[in-house]
Amino acid sequence: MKRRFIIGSLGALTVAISLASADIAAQGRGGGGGGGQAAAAAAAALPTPKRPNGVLDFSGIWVQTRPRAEAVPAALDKESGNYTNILRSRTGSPVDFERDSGVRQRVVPREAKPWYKPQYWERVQFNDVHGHSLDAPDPDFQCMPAGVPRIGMPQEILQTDTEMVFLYPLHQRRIYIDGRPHPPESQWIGTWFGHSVGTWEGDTLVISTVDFNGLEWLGWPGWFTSPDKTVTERMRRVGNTLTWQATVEDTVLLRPWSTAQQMRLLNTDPRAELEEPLPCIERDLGHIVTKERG
Amino acid sequence: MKDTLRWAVVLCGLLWAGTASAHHALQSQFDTTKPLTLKGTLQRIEWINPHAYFWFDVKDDSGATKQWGAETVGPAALRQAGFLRGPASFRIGEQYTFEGFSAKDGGERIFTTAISFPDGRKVTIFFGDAAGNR
Repeated sequence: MKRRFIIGSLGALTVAISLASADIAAQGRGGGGGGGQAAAAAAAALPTPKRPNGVLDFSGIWVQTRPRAEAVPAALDKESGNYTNILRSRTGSPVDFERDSGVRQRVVPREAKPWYKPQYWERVQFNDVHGHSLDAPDPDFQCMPAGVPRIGMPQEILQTDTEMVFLYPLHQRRIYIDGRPHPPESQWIGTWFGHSVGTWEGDTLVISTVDFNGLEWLGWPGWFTSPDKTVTERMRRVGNTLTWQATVEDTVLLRPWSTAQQMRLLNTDPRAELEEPLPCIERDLGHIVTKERG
Repeated sequence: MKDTLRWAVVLCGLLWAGTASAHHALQSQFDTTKPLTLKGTLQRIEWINPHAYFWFDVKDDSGATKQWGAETVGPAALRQAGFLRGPASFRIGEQYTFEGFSAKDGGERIFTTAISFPDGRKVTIFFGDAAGNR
């Protein structure tokens, strides 16, 4: 006998999806498992651990995780077996849903945007319009590394006496904290994440990164970069909180540009596991007909 | 066996689940006003970001086989839809029916909004048309 699972209870379903909840990595706002400011204050009040050599220890998982046993789809109604997913969009139409998300990417306060030199304004606009086409592809759209600082804060940090390893879903960065300098410019090779060294200013780790390949963007709205880009990140651990902010200098910019400051809380679950990241493979670029970036 | 279990999995819109890399607007590649239904033999699954793909062979009336690609939401969204075991939820070589939108460039691609399994189970992973009708 065939089991027929009928979508008969559609009328009872409210169809919508909560976007942000799906992205485990997007923990930028306080990052904790809820509780907001109170949780952050409590986390900051804890002692800040140090390594045996006296250096502050940034090790840990800095995103929230969920045990596999809890990986039941959130929208499942266990009694009826139906799924109810709530889409937060203006009209419930998938087209508007996409367009709205595109608008949200661009709505940035004027002061928070990178200020390009006038001779580059047309190129930024061209990138913005054509970022999902072969004409000026956003590298992130092509599944290329996001680069620094676009990739943001790491999911996990491992620390030794000589380096910190920043672990991201598909990439890692090495921040050398043993006092070594950058290689001289004659030995630069141009990479997605550059060469990073970290020095301490009090309890703040100041990370200097140079030697980029100039292919990455600062952000979605066509914000390209050049190989001259240098990035300075400031990272500070207070108790179980970790704050981060990056400042970018580039010859294509009128003045330095800083990201917003972000903060994460330490994941204190001793059994926390980060999920295996899936590959990102771009298969649609050759099939895009309408230039719409949503 | 839960005969009374009715699985109506409804996922509306495209989730930027997990990563926004390479995600593009649905309507830039597919025509939401041109629905399509195809039945074929599942050959390959790509459980990848930003969109998962099901590659399947469709036989036409003359018996000739053409390969089609069913593109859908990303793995994190598929998991939210109930495919907790990922690609293991499917069986290569079985007959699946894919409903969705046609490709604007006329190629053998479909943006999948519903998948019917060999046992008759149907899972809708997208719901609503361009006008917001349900």
